[in-house]
Amino acid sequence: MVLAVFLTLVFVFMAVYSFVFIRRNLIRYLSLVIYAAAIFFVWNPNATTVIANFWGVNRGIDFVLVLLSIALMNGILICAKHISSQHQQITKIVRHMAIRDARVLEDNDHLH
Amino acid sequence: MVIAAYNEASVIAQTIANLREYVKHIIVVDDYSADATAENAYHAGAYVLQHVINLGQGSALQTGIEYALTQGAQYIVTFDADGQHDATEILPMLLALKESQADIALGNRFMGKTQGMPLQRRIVLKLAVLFTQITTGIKLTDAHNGFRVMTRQFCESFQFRQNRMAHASEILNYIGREKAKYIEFPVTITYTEYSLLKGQKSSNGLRVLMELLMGYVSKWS
Repeated sequence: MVLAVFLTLVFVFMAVYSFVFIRRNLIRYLSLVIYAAAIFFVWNPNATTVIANFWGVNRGIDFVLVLLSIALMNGILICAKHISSQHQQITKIVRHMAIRDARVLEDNDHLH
Repeated sequence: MVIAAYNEASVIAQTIANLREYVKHIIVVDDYSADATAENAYHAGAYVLQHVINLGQGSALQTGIEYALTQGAQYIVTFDADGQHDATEILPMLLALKESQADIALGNRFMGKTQGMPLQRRIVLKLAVLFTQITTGIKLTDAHNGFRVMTRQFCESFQFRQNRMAHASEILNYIGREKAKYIEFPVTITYTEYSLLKGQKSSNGLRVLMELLMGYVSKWS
């Protein structure tokens, strides 16, 4: 029960997080469907066992843990995207400052 | 002429002195060096731009290119700071670019008179060429040469977004994707003890690959 609640909270959080931060609509909605299915499986372990067997995983709980791993990977990728985006912003600031403060010896100022 | 420099105080003045005979406008982007790179470049007569934090060679080149564009440059040359390129080849390369009406001329060390290249570096560069052919579809014989001449139009449409070493692959990806017209031009690279110590390590190949991969992931998600 405790694990089911915990996993539900994780999946709900990741679903909302993905929906808010992923820009491509197809992937946003796909992630929503996947997380909704994951929550369904958490509360219907028998269904997960059937599907788990289909995918070659022995127990339903193992299947849910696989889904949890996917969710964590998704979170990591979103974080990587955030970091990359922040790097781009920092780069822009640093570049702006460098160009603004460009200097040259006065007797060499003949670029034009 | 745009040069990205990081901790090149001992060679930057000589590199600029070699260039001044052939190039009028030299822009050095100091990528937050811990030594006197910026001061030495300034006193050698270059336009000096300084990053307030270290961002990487790709980012420094882009900063220099953007500055050159704001100053009205029609052709932009990128050149390594460590003096391994030959300044006498700039003008012939520029003329070849103009004659071909291409967007960019890429230096090719395997067509030119490269001196002192270690075997390990040769193998890594050949693997990079193979990787470039597979991922971009363009057939080059040298994939990571810092000596390039680009037109203004090319620089206005292309931007280095890979801050670090993956920028060299990024520009080739762009050329392949946008079908930009390019030529390869034979250039001389003289590997010295200094340039081998300062230059890209062969083991960085995997790091470049991961940078490119993360770039794709960031764009995709």
